[in-house]
Amino acid sequence: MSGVFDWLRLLFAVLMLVVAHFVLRPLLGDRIEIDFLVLALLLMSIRVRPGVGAVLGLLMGAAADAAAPAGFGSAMLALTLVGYITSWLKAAFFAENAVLDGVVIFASAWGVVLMRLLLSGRGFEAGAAVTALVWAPLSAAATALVGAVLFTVLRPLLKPAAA
Amino acid sequence: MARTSRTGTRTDLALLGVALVLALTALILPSAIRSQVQGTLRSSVAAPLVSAQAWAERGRQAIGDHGRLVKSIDSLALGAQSVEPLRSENDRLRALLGLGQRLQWGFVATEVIHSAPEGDEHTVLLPVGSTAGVRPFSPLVVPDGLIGMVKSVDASSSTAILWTNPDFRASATTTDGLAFGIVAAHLGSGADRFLLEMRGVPFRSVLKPGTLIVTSGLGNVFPRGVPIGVVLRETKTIEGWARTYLIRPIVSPDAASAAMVLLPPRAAAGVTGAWASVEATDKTQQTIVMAGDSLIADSVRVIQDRLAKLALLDSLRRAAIYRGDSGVRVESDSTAAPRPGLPPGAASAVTPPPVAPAARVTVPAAAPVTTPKPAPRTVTPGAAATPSRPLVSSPGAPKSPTTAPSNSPVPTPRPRPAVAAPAAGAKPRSAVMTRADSLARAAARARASESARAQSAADSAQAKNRSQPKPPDNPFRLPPAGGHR
Repeated sequence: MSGVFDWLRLLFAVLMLVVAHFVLRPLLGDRIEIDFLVLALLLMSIRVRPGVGAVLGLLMGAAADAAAPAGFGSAMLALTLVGYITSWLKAAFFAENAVLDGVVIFASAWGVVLMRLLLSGRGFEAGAAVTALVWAPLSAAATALVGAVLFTVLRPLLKPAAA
Repeated sequence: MARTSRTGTRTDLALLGVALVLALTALILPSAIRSQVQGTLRSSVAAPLVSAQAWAERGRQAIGDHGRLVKSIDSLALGAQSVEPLRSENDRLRALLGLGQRLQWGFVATEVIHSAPEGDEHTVLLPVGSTAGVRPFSPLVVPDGLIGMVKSVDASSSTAILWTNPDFRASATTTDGLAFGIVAAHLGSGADRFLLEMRGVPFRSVLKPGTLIVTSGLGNVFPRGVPIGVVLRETKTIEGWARTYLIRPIVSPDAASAAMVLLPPRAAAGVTGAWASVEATDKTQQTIVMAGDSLIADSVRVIQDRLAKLALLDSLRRAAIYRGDSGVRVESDSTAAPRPGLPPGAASAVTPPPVAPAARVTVPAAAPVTTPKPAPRTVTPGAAATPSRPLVSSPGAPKSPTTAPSNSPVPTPRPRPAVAAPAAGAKPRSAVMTRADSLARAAARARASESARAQSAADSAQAKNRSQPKPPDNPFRLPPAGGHR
């Protein structure tokens, strides 16, 4: 019973992050964007096996691609890889170290942006380098900062029950 | 344990492979199919997310547009503030163009610069001078009328005094030319300072308020017919040989930003018709006032005629009621005392008392008069004039008033005379008038016969009264108030 309640709490938190990605992110900034979808995927993937993490990444990527004007499939591929990798690295991730969490979140967010740029065919457009090397790291840093704080706050609530 | 881990790893790899294949498939799909799949996702499972994102985008756009909208509103408000002055100036300039078209020649259009030295606000500068033909004493006019006069002129500019200047004078008259006078500034205080006064009007010339005053053309300064103002009222002056009228000027000097200087040849030739619209407006106004007066007089006459007819009809109705030839009975308060010295019938039949008691008239159901009315009618005290039967019974009679004849003990609805009830479904007006005439003739005959009968009865009663002592007080009179124990 306790496990079901923990999963419900986790699903609620993930759902809130997904909604925030589509509602809150457009209001927060134009250049520097916080990727709540990556945070939701990371929050979920540390509790599941890598294959399930990959499928979750695929689904979240499909949602992101559906709302994107171009590059359908790029977010699916990027988030699939992120979901699998972070789930495989969960021994290191979600440790009692906020800095390590931040680094993983930063790398994941930046990697997603880079992969989307490359896979959507916009990587060779004018300004893509600035986006990839300036705005994407800044966005990833903002995402990492928010994620570190969020995970620190939510850790007592989302801590898996002892098996 | 190791086998389980290997199985899980294979499953994870399989899931990863499937996910990668799907993602890569989505990437390499043809554009049309990719758009179709994307549209399907947008309209199905991702619809709430897409709607939320669109809502957020609109919110961000609204936030970003707020500052721009505020700037736009401010600039529009600033522009709107200058629209009304521009519109009024445009109207003034159009009117000035119209005046120029009516004058056709002999004028110079000029700006009016209200930048005279301090303390001389009644003087303006004109950027036209003698090179343009302007001469001293040239009239300064606007489309509404006279505004001033050129005082001094140099080559390229001139100075003009407005009508508010104490030195301003203009010979003026009414549009019909029956009254003449000199118009000058009214040197009052406050708001009266911006009025004119027309002095030296002959005592026989009485001007009504609202009369238009124009220049008379006398003195060869102002041409005849330039509007100056309208009469407000007569002012009290110490002279007894002339009248002075307060004039409300047509032109406000502050509102004039452009004007025309009439050149001397044009002033000498006259400006007949240039301000015809103002005079026509004045004449139209006077015509409307006169028409209104005549309409009011006609209305009063019609009302008086109707009142006279109503009074006649009322008297005829009363005569028809009191004639008594239609089964009408009159009830009266039993406390009304008969006049001493007269028989009861004569006392009430000849002349009614000054304040007659309340009488109630009821008619039996078989009364052969007109349309029956559902409720008995009560006649007001003033209407109880000359009943043909005694209002009060004899001393031996009971106090209860007589109501209906013995053959109809219950009061029945009283028929209403046709002359007094031209209601819906009633006879036409001519028929009513014919009926009224016949009733009037019948009433006149009845009055004549009853007067003769009453006169004879009064004579006999007076003769009898002389031979008998004065009767005691009326035993049927009510005791005074409060004394009834």
